Order: sequence, then C-alpha cells, then structure tokens
Amino acid sequence: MTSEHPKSESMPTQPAPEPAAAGAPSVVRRRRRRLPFGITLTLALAVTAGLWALLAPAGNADGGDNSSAVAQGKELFAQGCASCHGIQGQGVEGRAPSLVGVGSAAVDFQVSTGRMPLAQIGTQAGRAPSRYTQEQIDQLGAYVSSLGGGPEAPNITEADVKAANLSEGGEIFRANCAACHNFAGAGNALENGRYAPSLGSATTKQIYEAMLTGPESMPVFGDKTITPEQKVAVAKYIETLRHGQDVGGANLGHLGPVPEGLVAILIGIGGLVAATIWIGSKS
Amino acid sequence: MSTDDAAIPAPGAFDSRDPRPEPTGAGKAIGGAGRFVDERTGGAGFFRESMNKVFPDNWSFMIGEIALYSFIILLLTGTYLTLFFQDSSAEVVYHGSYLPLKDVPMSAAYASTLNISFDVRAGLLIRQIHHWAALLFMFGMVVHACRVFFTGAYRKPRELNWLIGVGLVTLGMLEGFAGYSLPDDLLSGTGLRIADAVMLSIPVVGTWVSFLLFGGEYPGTHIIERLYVIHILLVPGLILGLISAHMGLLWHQKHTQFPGPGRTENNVVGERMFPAYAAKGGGFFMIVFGMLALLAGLFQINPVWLYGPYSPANVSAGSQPDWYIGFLEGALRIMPNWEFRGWGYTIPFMILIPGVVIPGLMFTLFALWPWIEQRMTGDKAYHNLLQRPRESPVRAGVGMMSLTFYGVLVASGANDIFASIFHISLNALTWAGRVAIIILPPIAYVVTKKICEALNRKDAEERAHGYETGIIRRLPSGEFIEVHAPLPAARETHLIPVETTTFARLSERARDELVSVGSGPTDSDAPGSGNTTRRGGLVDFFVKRD
Amino acid sequence: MIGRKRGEAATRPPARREAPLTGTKNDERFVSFFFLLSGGGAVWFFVTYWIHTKTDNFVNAMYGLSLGVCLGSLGIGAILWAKKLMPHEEAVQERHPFGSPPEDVEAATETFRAGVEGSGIARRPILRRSLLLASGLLALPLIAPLRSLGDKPRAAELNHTRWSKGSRMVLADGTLVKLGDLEPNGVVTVFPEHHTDVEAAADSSVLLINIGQNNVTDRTRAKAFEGYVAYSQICTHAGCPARLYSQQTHVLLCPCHQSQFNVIEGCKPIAGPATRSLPQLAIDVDGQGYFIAKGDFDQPVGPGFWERD
Repeated sequence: MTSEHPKSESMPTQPAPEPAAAGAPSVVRRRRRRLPFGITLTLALAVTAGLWALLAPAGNADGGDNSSAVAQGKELFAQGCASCHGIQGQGVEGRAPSLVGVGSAAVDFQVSTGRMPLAQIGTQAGRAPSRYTQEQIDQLGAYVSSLGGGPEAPNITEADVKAANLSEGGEIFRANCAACHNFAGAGNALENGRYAPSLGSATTKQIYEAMLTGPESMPVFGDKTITPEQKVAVAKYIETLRHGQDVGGANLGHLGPVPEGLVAILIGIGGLVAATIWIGSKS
Repeated sequence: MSTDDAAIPAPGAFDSRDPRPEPTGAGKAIGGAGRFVDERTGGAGFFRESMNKVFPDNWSFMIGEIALYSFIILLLTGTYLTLFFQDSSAEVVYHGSYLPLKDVPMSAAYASTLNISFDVRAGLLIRQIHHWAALLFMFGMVVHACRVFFTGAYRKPRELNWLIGVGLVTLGMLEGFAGYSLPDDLLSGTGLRIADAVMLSIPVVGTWVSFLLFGGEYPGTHIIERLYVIHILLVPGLILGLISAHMGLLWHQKHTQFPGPGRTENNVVGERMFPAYAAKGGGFFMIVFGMLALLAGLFQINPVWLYGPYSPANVSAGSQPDWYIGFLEGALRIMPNWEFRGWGYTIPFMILIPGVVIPGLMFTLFALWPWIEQRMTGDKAYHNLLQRPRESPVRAGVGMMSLTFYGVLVASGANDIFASIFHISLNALTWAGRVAIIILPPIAYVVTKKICEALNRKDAEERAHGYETGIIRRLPSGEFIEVHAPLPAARETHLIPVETTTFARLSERARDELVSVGSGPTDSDAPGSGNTTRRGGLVDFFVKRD
Repeated sequence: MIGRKRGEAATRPPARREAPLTGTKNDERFVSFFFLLSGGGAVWFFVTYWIHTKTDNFVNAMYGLSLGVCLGSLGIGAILWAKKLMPHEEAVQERHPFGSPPEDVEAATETFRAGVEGSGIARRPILRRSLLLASGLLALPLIAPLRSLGDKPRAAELNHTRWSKGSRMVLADGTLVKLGDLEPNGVVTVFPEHHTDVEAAADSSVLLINIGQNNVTDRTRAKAFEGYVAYSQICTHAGCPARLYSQQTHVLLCPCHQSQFNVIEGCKPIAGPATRSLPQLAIDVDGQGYFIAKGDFDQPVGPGFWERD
C-alpha cells in the first residue's frame, strides 16, 4: 500500500559530513550528535500524517465510499471485462456491445447470474455460478454506471414483496412473459438456437433487472409499461410458481402435454401391457 | 357332464338329469333370481352359452380391453365432473381458494374447473383420472390397432370391425379435443384458435363452417356450450354405439387366435368365460382403474390454474395439444409455406394440406386397408388364425412405414420442447422434420421387410434342418459340422403357418388353394378326432351351437 | 319334484362327487391377502376423504395411492384367483360357419323380391320418382335449422378489426399509451380504447415495438411513427399471438408453429409455415401525446380464408 501523502516540507536534510581530522575518531562523534536516517524519516512521516489528519478538509463519507467503489469496480472491470468491452466500456465491434448507459441494473443481472464474463462465445450466454461476490458486483455496477448512467439496480425489500399483488403479477406474467418463458417459467426455444431461459433459479432482484434492462434477446419492459410495483408482483408470482399452491402430483417439468403423453405411454401403457403379459402367462 | 340325449326334458320342466343337491342359502337366492328373469325373458340358454364361450388366452388380446375399461372409467368420472362443471362462457370474477387467481376475471367454465380442482374434495383426483383415462383410451386403441394390423386380424370376416375401430379412433380424437377445451384455459383455447384456422382454410365453405360452429366470428360466446353438448352427449353416444357393435361382432364371430396345438381355422381354443376369463377380465378392469388412480394421485396433468384463463392475445411458449392431436400439430409445423392467392381468393395450402388433406388421406387409407390388402393379394378367404408379423413382410413393412410417418409428425409437434431441452436450433429441427418425413418412412419399409424376410428364412431353415445346438462334431472325413436337432413338437406345430400371404399376383391355382384351405364349414377337424397333439389337461367341451 | 309320482319317498339325489380344489392353502391365503389389502385401501380412501377438506399435493397423492391400492389389489387378487385357484382347462369350441347356407340366402332373397314386387315400386315409375323427390327434399327441414347456429360470414367482420381512425391505444388494463412510455427495444400489446375484451383481442390485439428511428426503412416508414412500429399480433398462419420478440435480431416468433417474421422488413415471414407478413397498423401520436391508429389495417388480419383477397 503506497502512501499518497504529499511530500512534507519539514523533511530534515542531512548536514554535510565534516572533513575528518587526521587520526581522530570523527565517526563516533558524528553518531552521537545525529539520529539514523531511517528513524528520522519515520518520525517525519508520523508528524506529517498527524498534521494531515487534523488539518485536511473532512470529505463527505459517500463520495468517499462511491469513489472507492467506482475505483474498485474500475479495477475489476479492467481485469475481467475490458478485454471484450473495451477499457472504457465503449464496446468492440463484433465482439461485445457498449456498456455506456446500460446502468448498474444490467451489470447486477448479467454478473450475478454468471452470464458475464462470457465463458464461451456462442449463440447465447447461459446461467452459471457467479464469479464475483455481491460486493464486487456492486462495485462493477458503480463503475459501469459512472460511464454513462442507466437504470439502477433496485433495492427490493420484504415489505415491497409482501405488498405486491400476486394476481396482478400473474396476469402481467401471462400477458408478457409466458409467451417466451412458458406458462410456468420453464423456458423454451426461440429462433436459431436462441432461447428464453428457465426462471427456476432467478431471484426477485434478477427478475426485476431483466425486465428493466432487456438482456440478450429479451425486450425491455420499462417502468412506464410495467411499473416497479408490478415488476415486483411479477417476481412474486414467479416465486409462487416454484413453491406455491401447485397441486396434482409430480409436475413433469411444467412442460405441458408432451411429458404427460410420455408418462401415459411409458408408465400407463407400459405397466398395463406388463400386466397383460403376466395375466396371459402360464403359471 | 352328461351327454345323454334321450331324456331331454320338455321346456319348463325340471331338469332332473343334473344330479345336484337343491341349492340352499345364497345359491337358492341366486337360483331364484335367475329363474325369475328366465321366466320373463327365456334367457337361460343364452346365459349358459355366454358362460361357456371360449376365448383364446394370448396376452396381446387384452390390449383392446385397456381402451374399453378406460372408456368405462371416462364415463364414470365424467358423469361426476358434470355435476360440478359449468359450461358457460359468461364472465365471472374468481373468489375460490387458489390465491394467484383471486379477483381475476374469467369464464364461468374456467372458474368451475378451478373449483373442482381446489374446492371440491377429491375433485382434483377425479378430474385427473378423467384426463389420464382419456390418454390411455387413445393409446389403448392405437396399440390395439397395431396388434390387429400386424397379426392380420382385420381380414375377412372382420373388416367391418376394423372400420368400426377406425371410427372409434377418430371419434376418440374429437371427444378428447372437445373435452380438454371445456375448461377454457390458455392452452386449449390456443388449440381452438388453430382448429378455427383449419376450418377457415377450407375453400368455398371454410368461413361458413367456422361461423356456424362458433356462432359468428371467432371466438364468439357459444363454443364452450356447444363443445359441452358434443362432449357429454353426442360423441359418447356414438362411441357407445360403435363399441357395442364392435363387441357384438367380436362375440358373434369369436376372437381370432394364433396357430398352435389343436388350433385350427374352425375352432377357438382357450378358456371359458366363466369363471376364469371373467375373473381375469374383471381383474384387469380393476388393474386399469388402479393404474389410473395411481397416475392421477402421483402425476400432475393439465394444470389449468397455471395456464390461466384464455385470451386470444396471450399464448404460452411450448404449446402442444394432447398427444393424440400431436400429429396434426407436427404436420402444421413442418409444412412449407405454400399458399394460393389469385382472382380475389386465397387457399392457404400450408394449413389445408397438413390440417385437412393429409389426415384425410391417412385415415382413408387406414380405413380401407383390409380391401387394399385383399386387392394386392387376391386373398378373399376367411381367416380366423392370425399370422405373426414376419409372416407377411409387406404388411409389416407398410405398418412400420405408417408408424414412422406418424411418429415423425408427432415428434415434430414437440420440436420446440426438444430444441429447448437438447439445445438444438429450432429452425434446424423444423428442417429435420421436413427431411425425415420424406426419407424415413421408405427406409422403415425396406428395413422392416428385410428383417421379416430374414426371420422367415431362419424359420424355414429351422423347419428344414432343425435348430443349431452349438455342439460341434468332427466327421470321420475330417470335416467339422454343427449338430442340428429337430425342433420340439410344440414349436414345430407353431411354425407351420396355415398359409403365408404373399403380395405378388397369385396364380389361379394358388388362389384356389388358399381359398379352400382357409374357408368353410366342411373342414377336417371334427371335434374329438384327436388328430393333433394336445396338452395334458385338455378337455373337449361340446356346446350348443351359438 | 315334478317328475316323481305321488307317494314316492323323497330320495335325496346322490351327492355329486366334487372335484378336488386347485391350488394350495397358501395360494388361497395369498389371494385373500390381496382382497384384504383392497379393503384396507378402500378404508384408507374413505378416511382421507373424511379428514382432509383442503386439496394439496399430499392429500391428492393419498387419494391416488389409496384408490390405486384398493382397486389394484382387487384386480391382482382376482387374477391370482384365476391363475392359481381355478382349474386350468383348455376348452375347444367350434366356430360355426360364416355366411348362411345357400338355401337361407336364396330364401331371403326371394322373400325380399316378393316384397318389392308386392309394393309395386319397380313397376310404378311415378310413385317411385315422387318418393325419391320427397326423400331428397326431406333433407331440407333436417339440415336447414343448422343455419341458425351462427351468423353469415360477412366481409365487415372478416376484413375489419376494431381499429379505426383516431382509436387511442390502450394496454390490457385500459391505460393509455403515451409517447415515451415505451423504452427503446421495448414491446407491449395494445388494444383499441374501449375494446379490451376477449372478442376484440381475437382480431384487434397489436404489438407496439420501439425499434428506434434508424431501423425504420422506407418499407415501414409510412405507417410508423418515428422509431415506433405497430403490427397485428395475430399470426397470419393459424392465428396464435406471434409475440415472441427477439430484440437483438428483431425477429418475431410465433410459438405455435414457429413462423418467424422480420420486424425491420415489415414483419415479412422468414421461416416456418406463415406465408403473409403481419399487417402493419398505421400509427400516429395525438395532440396530448397518446398513440393513436390512423385507421384500420389495410388488409384482413390473421389466418387466410377463401374470400380473402
């Protein structure tokens, strides 16, 4: 850790050594009259530090933290993102889009779902374990945000979720989301190898951010078409799909009549034909 | 059991030949009840014939019963559901116990389905049994049809039964489609929309058909009510009628059987109806019902609360119909985009062909197959003995070709699910379907035919030279040979087909031979002649002619 | 007994020698076990029904298992009874010939012929033809009432939707859509104001997309407003909502049969079975900033039909 304290004017200078008398032990005398260089330096630094701490203007705490987050983010970005997105996040033609204006919401979504950094250039980035901690993701978000603004990562509280209207969330989900993600959020294919992923592992925050920022093929659902409260309601509904009042038995992946037909032929007919073979066999 | 003809009592007189003690207790009551009915219907003779009726006991003959019992269960569970279902498109607001739909506007039909699922005790179970039974009804019919086809059971005199069967499959599809559209949910509503598009695509009358069925422009406010009448009255009535005809013909003509010891074209060897066959039949009914109950308890089916109420502006990704409509869905998906537009008219071939023309052709061929085969083979003889599939390589090839064609269509109907699970491009799968439908069926035909012919050659060789024992012997000349042993008697008998059907144009003489071998009342095997080997325990049982 | 003379002693007929029972005592116990199991399952079902008033996964599974055990055990028991405890016999029954004896066929034909002869229909052409006419016309009262099932298909309904000049766009809940509400790459389903019901949705639901000004080409500019375009959502193939929008490739996918439309090029079909572009709705923004339609579509929306030009 390098100190960035400004150079102090009170740094003592070394006096020029006296010419030594012939045969006299002049070294001993010099030592007794001066401190060693190292200790002098340390003392000087300590004094300087103390004066700075007392006299430097008190900075505002946030600004101080943010700028530190932005700075941390900038470093993380340089290590993990700049190779594709450019050192200023300006994007590289044919490789990665510009991040100017995408906002911290997009960053939080992409990085927390492990889609970014992109593991493999292919048709579509898939969900993977995230390579960064939440703190690091926040820092990255702060940095990208500083590049050009954009939608902020939301802060959704328990109270927000509790207040959300589950039925309304369901209606909006079925009207806007089920067409790509399937009626239960199980995901499905889009054209040419693209796909709308399963929503089974998505957190409320991630769902909110995806709607807000429109990652990859997904369109953008701005706050005027689906309000923030409605977005939370949609996320609440998706959560219900996972743990809610679903009844009837094993849900076969929520993929509709296709697995139902497979169960009917394999287990239903398979079992019954086995029974007929048993019935018809000679005992 | 006495066969003394001399002391036949006059009708109505007590038959003293049968030295049984007087029935007491339950026996007396049963006997009393029987006598009561007989005195009013004269049915004792028929009753006795029915109990003595012989059914062959191959396991594959019970597959049709899967469909039959599933239908009975559909009637029972369906009646229960009608007590709670409301066939109304009127809009209501939901206030039941399924919270994610609270206060959501929906049709009364959908709301009543939710009510059955969440607020009627055991309602969900009955609803799920009903839907699983529908799937098993269709699967049972199709697997049964395959058994009948591959063994040649549809040949004379059973062509009528084959036609009735094709009718039942078609009606079953219609019934199922109408049934799962009743809840008016998003998935089935999407299917109705597509059905409407198919109707519209019919030239000249298409818009009339659509407007008359829906009572106006799609979707109208009448379709649920009309589908309800179709589903609970019209089509079940037709199905019941056809099933009765199907069973009646089977009863009258007696079931077919595989060749074997003692089995000829002129008899049926097996078990009597009472008590063994009835016990097995009744037991199997219970097993089918039990299987349906297990499926309904353990596997979710048609979760309409997740689909949501129908709106023509909404759709779910991965929308498929129930499996038996899947072949139509697949045909619609892989059809290239051809349309005719001219002189102020449009014919959407991309819907008309997969939706009307192809299924029409498929089912017409399906229905006419017995006569097509008769034409190709010139074989107009009666057939009560079945063939193993290999014994008619062309028929087996045609069957596998048809199943392959059907299978490619069904698989294409689910191509987006496959694309999603296996991470394959959807566009690529569409093209794969288009290519597969052309090249796979002929390949299936050729491969199946070759396999059957190879199996036939092996059988012929076994008949001629015996089977290979695996024992190597060295002859004095120094040559090594494998020892062949003659086939055991039972197997040998089984291997001799009554006739092998060839599909070349037969010579006059050959055709005459075939006709004389298979037909007729005056044939060799008089009862009791004992000219073929019989297993121990065989009982010759003589019954009055039906 | 009817056959006895009066005064004869009532002798008990000799007891029939009963055949030995098939199967062992163990077999019998085995079969009975299944019947008892079935009874247990029935009671289990009944108890479940009695105590559980709410349906959830557990209760439904209990219903299914108990009923499955009840019925399945009964079936297994019955079959085991047949296989193990009933005597094995192989019964042979003769088939009677198909087709009646020629005399019967002959007699039937003759009777029929005599009957036709008696009715005189063969020799009375006026009678015959008038009967045929009546039979043919009988179809009219039988079939005609089917006409009451629905309206006649009219061009007004087939070729037009609820959109008209000045219709304001609303969301499904009735909220008006203002310029600026839709973000770039945003998409939303809209309806004509006052027409958000299910009937209207079948032909009037429209997808409003913000594709950005530089994606609007000459082909679409006339009906677009700045960077916004509006297309009928009703797929021109079979009528499902074609609303899966891939914003990066600007492709609209219909989930039913995978028709794909290129939004930049006027929703031209580029893959799948659709043959016609999705009709574009001409849009504008009114004085208060709300999106409006400039008129109805210039062609019928949705699937094709015979009378479609």
